[in-house]
Amino acid sequence: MKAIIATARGFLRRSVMENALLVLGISVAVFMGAVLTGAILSYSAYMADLLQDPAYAEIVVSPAFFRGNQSQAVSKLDMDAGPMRFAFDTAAAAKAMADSPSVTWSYISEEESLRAGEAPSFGPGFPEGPPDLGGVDEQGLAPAQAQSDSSAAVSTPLLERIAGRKVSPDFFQAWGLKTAQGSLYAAADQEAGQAYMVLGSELAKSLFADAQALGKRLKIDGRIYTIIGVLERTGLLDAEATRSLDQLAFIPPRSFSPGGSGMGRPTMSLTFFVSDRAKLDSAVKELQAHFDRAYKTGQVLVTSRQAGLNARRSGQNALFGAISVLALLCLVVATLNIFNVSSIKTIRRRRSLGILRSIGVSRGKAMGVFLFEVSALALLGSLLGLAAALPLSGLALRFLVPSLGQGLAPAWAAQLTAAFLSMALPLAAGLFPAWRLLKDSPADLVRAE
Amino acid sequence: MRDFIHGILKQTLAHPARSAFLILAVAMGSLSFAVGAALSGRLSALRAEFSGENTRYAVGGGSVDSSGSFEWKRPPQFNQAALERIRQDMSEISALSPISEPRFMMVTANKARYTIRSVLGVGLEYEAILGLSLVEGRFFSQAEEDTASRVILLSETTASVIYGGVKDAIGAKLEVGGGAGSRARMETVIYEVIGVYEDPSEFMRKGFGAPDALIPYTAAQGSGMMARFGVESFIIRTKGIGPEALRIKLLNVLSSLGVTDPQLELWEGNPLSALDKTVESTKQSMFVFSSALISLSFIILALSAVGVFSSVNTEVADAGKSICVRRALGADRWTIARGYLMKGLGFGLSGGILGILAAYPAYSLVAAAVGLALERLGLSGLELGSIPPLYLLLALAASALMSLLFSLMPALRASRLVIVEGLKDL
Repeated sequence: MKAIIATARGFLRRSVMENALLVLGISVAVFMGAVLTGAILSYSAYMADLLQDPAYAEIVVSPAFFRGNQSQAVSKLDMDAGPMRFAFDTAAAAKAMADSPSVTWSYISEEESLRAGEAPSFGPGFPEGPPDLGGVDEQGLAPAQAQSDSSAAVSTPLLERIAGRKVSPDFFQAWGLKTAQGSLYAAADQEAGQAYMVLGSELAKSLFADAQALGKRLKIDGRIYTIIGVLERTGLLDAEATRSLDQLAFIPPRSFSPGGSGMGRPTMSLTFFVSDRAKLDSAVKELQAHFDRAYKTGQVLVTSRQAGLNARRSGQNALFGAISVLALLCLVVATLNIFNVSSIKTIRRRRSLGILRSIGVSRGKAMGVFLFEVSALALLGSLLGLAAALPLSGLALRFLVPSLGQGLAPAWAAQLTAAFLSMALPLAAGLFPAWRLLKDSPADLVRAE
Repeated sequence: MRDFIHGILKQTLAHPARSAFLILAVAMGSLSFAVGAALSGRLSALRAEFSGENTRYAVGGGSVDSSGSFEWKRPPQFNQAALERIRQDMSEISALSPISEPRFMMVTANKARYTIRSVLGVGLEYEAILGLSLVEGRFFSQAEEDTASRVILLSETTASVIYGGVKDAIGAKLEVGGGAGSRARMETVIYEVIGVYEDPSEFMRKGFGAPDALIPYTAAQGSGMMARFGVESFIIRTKGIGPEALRIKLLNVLSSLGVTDPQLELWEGNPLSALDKTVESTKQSMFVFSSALISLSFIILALSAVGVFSSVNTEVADAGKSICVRRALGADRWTIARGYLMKGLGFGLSGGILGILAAYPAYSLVAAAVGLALERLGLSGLELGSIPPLYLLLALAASALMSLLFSLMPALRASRLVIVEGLKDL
């Protein structure tokens, strides 16, 4: 055995340049395989986690004429189902729920930027605020509250602008949000036009100097809100995946009637929540059928947030696919190289192998020479590839998934497995010529070609 | 040349399987380089369309508050005089257009009602900033901008849907309900269609907010009190200036105009969507694609030539004695080296030709995957086309050069063999 190892060592030493290039090829293939596999698996794991987020159990319904929904440059309007006929309120949601058994909850949930203090003025000539808001001021309060507001103390928050969400009470139920302090507002509070506010845990700590928010009253866009609850810490992101719920303020939506008293704004979307994710597709179909019946086909758009995420995921996967093809080519070329070199070496040593076999060296031991040579190259290449891949995997993730790179955790185990598999192919290709040659009898091997 | 081809054929026929694998490896290198370089080049060219001198920035009057939201400063800081001053004082800005969004709830033409996806009020230079091309009619004039004329330009699709054709749209009337820029919601104003422009690409629409209809920004502001407001955002095309330097210069201009506490933010993207990251992330994705493709394809090309090195190296080792005999009979070093270099070159060329033949279908496949990836990442409507012949030639040349380079070392070793040592072994 020692003699065999010494022979192989000698051979490796004699072809330093050639071996170095082969090792380099394997290390590049292993590096690519490990980095790419790690990136793909990290991204998949991240996406699988993300899909568990309540936001991706939501289905959003909004009018097709709504600008954000328009896919065509111009759309002809069906005046029988014109924009003003849309009444997206809790009654419309209840009707849709009745027709859609797969849906668990329905609610209003819209982003809202809240400004502490008076309603914004649009400069001289427009003291009553922007033209399309319908007058958001203290006149919008429920009469009883407006009266009490004038006498009670109002606290000044530390923040001038507060990121918020206008949500109806079922939102809290659907997302499983619970209060750490105080209570949530109820449907009756919303209907009565109560100006209540519920805060996320982090916002509650940072909104006032004394870090105590419960029970305090603050003026937002000219309307006085009472903080009735503080949520438990959730760590969840909002539906647009831009902010943590812990940093948001939640207020109830106010009713709107076209041409009415000017309270609130019309709601342009309804949100439905499907607890059983497997029923998301059927829920979309049920809701689409309901709204097509209610507002004519094509007038209302029903989209699941998960569909948007899946589209994003398939785009990233296509990128991974394109780069994987090149990484695979890299591995194939490294394999072909080691196969070619191994073939040449095997043929050159045909006679010496024949002699070894003739004097009693077993086929297995003769294979050992090649196994040592090829596995030394493959192992060295793999170690170098892995040594580069492990520390650089974070950087590679940021490079391959620029939008999420920093939030992804490297998949070390998968990288090691990929490295092993990337090494296996060149190893097998390197041993194949010797294995095939050693199938010949010693006499055939000794005979000149 | 005849000797060269003969040598290659002889070598190939002597070891057909080995040569085939070697040529296959080189072909893969050449194939990947052709595809990778072509796609990378195409992506770089696309990226250049909105980088460097083609960079377009949206400038919004306002700032990011503590909650991370962009807060527009009210009343707006930019008026006609301020914008003219910016244009005059800053040579780095090659074009500037104020932007405002009129409220076009619905439009009426030929007794039918429509909603137009996006309508913008813009300045004269908007056409140049976005690179819009007119299909019919004209852009509005300075006089029309100054007098807030009710003139409108439509995109090709918009004009075709509303009027049935591009030519029919010119001179036609468009009734706008909802009062563009007016507070009176029921007010109706009539616009005259003066031009039709080519549909902007999906990327220009999503990334830079290229609209489906354009009116002078002065008309978008309406009349009376609203006209005094000025504009909240504008779009510029720059040359040779980074965003931070640009921001500082713009703030200086605003300060010099007496604006107290001037506030502005810049972003590459839709001027109506503050701090929109679409263009930035698209450029980043393109850079990632482009860099990954070119680096990987070059690595594969280099790796593919390792086989050439091994093959030539082995041949030199096997032919040591015959080389020495040839040298003793008068062959000079260059003749010996040239023979081996030509062998390497032969492998490079034959593998290269095979690779570029396969590059045509391979490019279509990879381009489809890259196109899909870019589309899903927000960059739809980009045409990656077929592989340009230049890249095929480049791949062939690179493959030949790489093989030549990798056969150089064994060829030099062959030329430096000591004649006496070789003859001793005979």
